[in-house]
Parts: sequence; C-alpha cells; structure tokens
Amino acid sequence: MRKLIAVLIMIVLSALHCQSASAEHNVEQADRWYNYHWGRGVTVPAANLNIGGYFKGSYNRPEGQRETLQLDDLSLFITWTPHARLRFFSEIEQHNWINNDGVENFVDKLNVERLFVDFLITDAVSARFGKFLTPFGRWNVIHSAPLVWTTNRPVVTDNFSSPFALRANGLMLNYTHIVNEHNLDVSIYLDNSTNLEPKSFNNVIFDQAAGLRVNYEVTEELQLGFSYLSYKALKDQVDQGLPIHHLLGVDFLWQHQGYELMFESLYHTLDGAGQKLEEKGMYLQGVVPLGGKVSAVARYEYFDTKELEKSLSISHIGVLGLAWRPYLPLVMKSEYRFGNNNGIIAPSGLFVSVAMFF
Amino acid sequence: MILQTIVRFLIFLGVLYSQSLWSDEILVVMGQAYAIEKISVKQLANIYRRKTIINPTGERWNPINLSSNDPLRIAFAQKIFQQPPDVMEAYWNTQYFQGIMPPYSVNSVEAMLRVLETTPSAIGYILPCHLDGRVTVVLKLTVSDDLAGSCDPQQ
Repeated sequence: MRKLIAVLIMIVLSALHCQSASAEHNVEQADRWYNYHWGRGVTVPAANLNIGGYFKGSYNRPEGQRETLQLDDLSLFITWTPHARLRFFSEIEQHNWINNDGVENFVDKLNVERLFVDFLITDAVSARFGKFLTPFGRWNVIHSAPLVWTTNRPVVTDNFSSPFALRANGLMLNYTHIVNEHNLDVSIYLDNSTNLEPKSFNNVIFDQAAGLRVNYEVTEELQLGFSYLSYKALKDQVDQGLPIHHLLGVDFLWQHQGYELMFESLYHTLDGAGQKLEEKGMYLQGVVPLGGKVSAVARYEYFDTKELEKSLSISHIGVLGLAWRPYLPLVMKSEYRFGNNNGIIAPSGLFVSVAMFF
Repeated sequence: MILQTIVRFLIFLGVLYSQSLWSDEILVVMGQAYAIEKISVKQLANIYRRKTIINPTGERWNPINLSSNDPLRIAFAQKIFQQPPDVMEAYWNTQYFQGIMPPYSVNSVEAMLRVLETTPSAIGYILPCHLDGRVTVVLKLTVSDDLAGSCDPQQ
C-alpha cells in the first residue's frame, strides 16, 4: 500500500513540476525536438508523434466487502500521423497492477485497450480499422477517469454487467454532415473479434457484431444520440446456442457554463435457444458547479436484468459525490453509492479516486 | 407629444448606431498561394475543433491560434464556438483521449501572418487593420467586441 501511495504522489508531483502555462503547442517554441505539456503528453513535431496517457488510483469501501486501495489504470497513448490521411493510435493499459495485496505481474496485467488506424477518405468520411471503443451510447467512448465525473461507471455501461462488449475489433466508417450549421455524425461498424481480438479482460467479447451510431448537435450545448447494435457473444456459445443480441440506445448531453446533464438509456433483447429475453436500463446524471473548481454530482440509475439474470431484481441506484478539478488534467473525486437490489452489480459504499492525464 | 416621440426615436437610433460602432470584424485568412474560395462558419469551427482534419483536396488543415488570453482569440472563439478558449480546454481533454491535439498557437498576429504565408492549408484570423498581401480573406466574421486596441501586429 505504501508503494502505491508513493507511486501516485510521484506521478502527481512530477506532472505539477512540468506544468506549463498553456496546454497548446506553440509554433515559436520549436527550438527543442520535443515538447511536453501537462495533460497533452510529449510531442515530437518532426515525427508527427505524440505520447501521453493517464492514471487512476482509487480507494473503495463497499459495504459488506473488503476495502481496496489500488492503481486501477495506468494508460499509455501513442499517436502517430505519418501522412495527411493516415493516423495510428494505440492505448496500452496496466489494469489493477498495484493494489493492497501487492504488485501483480506486469505482463499479466498489460492490456491492449485500443489499437487502430484511421484513414481519412474525404474531408467528411473516414475509415477506422482495428480495436476501438464500441460507439454505443455516450459514456463508453469517453470513459477515461480524468474525463468523467464519478469513480464508478453507471451500471448500463459497466464492465461487469454491460450487455455489450466495450471494445470492438473490426472496421468502422464515420461520416460527418453539416445540417443547417449543425453537425450530424454517423458511424457504422462491423466487428469480427473472434479473429481480431488481441487480448481482453472484459466479461463480454463479441463474436461478430454490427452497429450504428448517430449523434446530432442540436445546439452548441445540446447533443442527441441514437445507437443500435446487433451481435453474437463468445460467452454465449456453449450454453445458450448462439443467441443474437439486439440493443437500442438513446442518449443526450447538455452542457452550459459548468452545468451538465447526461442521460443514456438502453434496451436489450436476446433471441435464441427457443426464448426471447430482455433487459433495460438508464441513468441520468447532473453536475452543478459549486465554486473553487469543485462540482457536485448526482446520478440516478435504473437497471432491470431479471429476465437474463434470475438472481437479480430491478435495481435502483443513487450516486452523490463531489469532484475537484484544481487543474484541468487532474481530478479528485469522492462519492457515496446507495440503492435497492444493488448489492451484486453496484454495491453501496464510499468510493474515492484521483485521476490525471499526463 | 409628437416632438417627444420623435426625440425618443432619434435617441433610440443613436443608441443603435453607437452599438454598431462598437462591433468589429474578424477576417479569416489563408496564405495567398494556398487560399480556398469560401468556407462556412460551421466548417471553420470543425477545422478549429480538429473534427475536419483534411481539406477537399486531401491536404491536412493547419489551423493557427493566437495565445489563449489574446482578445482577438477570445472574440474568435466566442464567435465560432460560443465559448471562450478556457472553456474549450475541457473539449481538448476529451480529444486528447482520442489522440487528437489542439491547433498550434503563435504569440502575435505578425507570427500568424508569417506561418500562413509559408504553410500549406494553414488558416488563421486577423483584424482588417492587419491585412496585407501575404494572405487572402476566405471569411468575414462580425463580432460585438471592440477590438481596435488589438491592431498592433506585434501584440
């Protein structure tokens, strides 16, 4: 535990020491072959290369369970743009490498989170090939700890109970169209994880999948989203006769001067083995700035998976917390989670974390 | 009574006129050798958000910013994003997670003009008093700010 605290303190202090006045690279400061800006990584302009990442450490005290102190994520991003139309991106992550039981084997905990190449076909159309975050809903594609307001993910987007794989392996086409001076983004993707997945710790892994994501920017402050996904999952093959899953999701995000409202809903049906089952869930999260770079966060979640998991009832979950962002790349969070029938999927308790882009 | 109404109307017109004096124009410019015909405000916002990465001919856009506390930069950001540059930093946090970096910045309008002149597909913004033969105007933005104090190109 001492090692973990020391590692966290060293990372934060080293970043604070390197803190720059601006997080933007200045053309006129090109006297060095590299630039480092806190929260934007190291850039090597001559090679069109950027190396950065983030970490998250947390203290969790779920009721009725053992308390934990752990380095949840230590993530490294590498972005390389060798050509105007080409961009390579990778995210390699150490997940739960150090915890209060000690230091785990480095290689065992190494995970390829994302690994893809973007090809810009036109100014409005691009193709992505590789392993990428499944563009279902809003949380999953921005899930990194320095970006989100709570230590825990909403249940409908969580690793444990999520009804879809959080990462897809395959091809995605993205199209942006400007409708009356508002962006309409459409993504279509095909997955073949059976043959392409490098390594994953996720509970759900696609066998094959196809999906659609639409996001419309109603105003500069309001975005509406729609997601559809159909897939076969590897975990189902043995005992459920290759059922086909269908997911529908609707979401929105409203942001105004530090206030924020985010909503996601999900409806999941499963055809196979002579029966049709369904589950559904949603969350609504609000953020209110309190001053001093502190924000209050409140979230309500509903999750009904009783048809799929007989041992579970309908869950109602509440989260109340505070998030302090003394600097933009750094956030410290503290939250209390509570609810009904939430003991297995999202236990009540106190959760505290620190996360930072470096 | 009629005279009083006319006087009030004239005062109203005077207020409107004085407000129009305070409004200013920002010119969106590119190097003479690399200029495109026209661009919309939304296309410009997408270029500066790095949402649109390449232009129609396949070259990479090079949007150039002034430093984040420059009044011209603040007025430009307010016009195209409806947000000041410091609020946009949260957006760049999200983009960093996607491997996308914010536009490069320069310390002065003169430095911006030099970069625009020599860099293909570079795009920037100046005031009408900065305009010279090195750049071509591709869009005019009307803003409500008084930017007359920003006319020194070395600023």
